[in-house]
Amino acid sequence: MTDTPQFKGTHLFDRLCWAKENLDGVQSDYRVVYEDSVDECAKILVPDPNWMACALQGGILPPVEVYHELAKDEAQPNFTKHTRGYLLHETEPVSSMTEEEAIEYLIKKDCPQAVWKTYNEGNRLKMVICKKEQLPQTREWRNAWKIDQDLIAA
Amino acid sequence: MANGKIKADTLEHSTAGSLDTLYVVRGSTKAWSSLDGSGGSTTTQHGSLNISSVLDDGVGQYGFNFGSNMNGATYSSVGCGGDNANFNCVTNWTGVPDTYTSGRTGMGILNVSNSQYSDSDVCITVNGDLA
Repeated sequence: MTDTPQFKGTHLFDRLCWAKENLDGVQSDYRVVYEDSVDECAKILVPDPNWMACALQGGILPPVEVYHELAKDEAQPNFTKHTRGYLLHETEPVSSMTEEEAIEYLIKKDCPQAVWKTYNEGNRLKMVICKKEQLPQTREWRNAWKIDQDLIAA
Repeated sequence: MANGKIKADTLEHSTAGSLDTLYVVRGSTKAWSSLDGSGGSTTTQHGSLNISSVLDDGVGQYGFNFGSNMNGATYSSVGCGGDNANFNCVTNWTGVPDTYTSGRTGMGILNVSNSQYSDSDVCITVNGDLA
């Protein structure tokens, strides 16, 4: 297994370039299906193979809370550009994750917080993690796809 | 020279002049992705850089989450789709709230003939400054 260099203080983009050069991509079979609007179809999040390789390797990605801090900054009304980008590069990288832990990290990073923080509250389940084989195998009626609530209840 | 580093502010050619390396740092592509959004229900990715995940948002509509954020929502993302001339792209797409931020961009593929979103092969390139 390739050893990860000591990356704390290295720009995150440079780490990702190193990973692309040195690690084999890992295409996860997991998919995250979520609904963030009752008026829209379900969305499907597909993990990137290079990113997944970084998560499994460890020592490359920052803690997910760093992204939340940047999102808070960006939500300010007078935001123009990030002034705390150093959080991405100077925070101690997280250690290696299992594939399942990586999916949890990715949900917290890339799904809307309004979805994953309350995914099982209210009248409908708003998010599920599944294997790609559990999704429809064609894109027929794609804009009508919704999470099957009966299937979840079963 | 694994993990080596050359520090230079300027590259100088013997006859053609010099180039500030800042042009290289700021001008190079910061993220890209190529995927097949047309086959089956699960997006197949051909290759990428600085992408943490791809979103299948519906017919012809895709989101791209960055691993390393851009420094704001003022970057340029350019994409293309389809395997013939009958597709147009909408990039830096704001059709869905939170789609175009420092951590995410999106694009839609329109079929020119009927102005409907269409599933197709998708490529996107992002330029700008990183956080």
